[in-house]
Amino acid sequence: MRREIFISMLIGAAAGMLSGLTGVGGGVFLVPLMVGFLAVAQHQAHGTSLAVIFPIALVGVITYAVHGHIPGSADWELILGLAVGGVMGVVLGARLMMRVPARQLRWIFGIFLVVVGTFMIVYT
Amino acid sequence: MDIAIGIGIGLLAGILGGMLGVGGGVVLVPGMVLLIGLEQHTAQGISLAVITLMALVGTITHYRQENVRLKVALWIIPAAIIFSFLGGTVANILDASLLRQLVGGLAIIIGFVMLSSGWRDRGA
Repeated sequence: MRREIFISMLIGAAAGMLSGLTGVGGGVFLVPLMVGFLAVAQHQAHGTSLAVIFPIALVGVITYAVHGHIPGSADWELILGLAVGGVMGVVLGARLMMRVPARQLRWIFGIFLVVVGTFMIVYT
Repeated sequence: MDIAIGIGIGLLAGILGGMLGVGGGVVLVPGMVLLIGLEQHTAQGISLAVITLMALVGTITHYRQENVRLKVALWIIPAAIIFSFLGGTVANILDASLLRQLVGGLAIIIGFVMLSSGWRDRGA
């Protein structure tokens, strides 16, 4: 029990640091670490990860706002679009995961992310 | 126009996030930087704002399907919150180009992990 709580703290620290540093949320490491070290079932790891990401991202957004990185002049139309699309997508994705064999989607997203990442690195 | 681009990026991020239990920021940040030309820090801050909303909705969706392990989440959250604040503070000091390469590298790593797990599940 005590060991599990200690591991949980380490996992939280890693995910939080990554999220704050890069603005990505941190779930990428939460899911496999919870499955691997805390014996959380795969399908429960997704839901639990999102429950952890919510406060992580909330604290992150406050931190960024305090440093002036979300200015009042920000493009609120864009933010509204992202929020609407994101919320629709996350509900859709959660359903897809339950019903569709995700293999093809993994391939498509995998290639997509490698390409996107490469663009980010060479972008000037 | 921005609202349409926003919805598109958001949908993609949301589906990925909902499927994998991640926030989808690895799509959001590059989307805002590469397609809209937002400054890296601002993109990360807005990404976290959108993720906060997505994670909330995602958590509720998964919770209804009884896929959230509340106790595990509560073990992870305290350290995660502290390090999210620390990570955001460090990001504030770091150069935009360095952060962009970090996010790019992360996207590539996640992409390869998805490709390899897609490969592993081939027979399933």
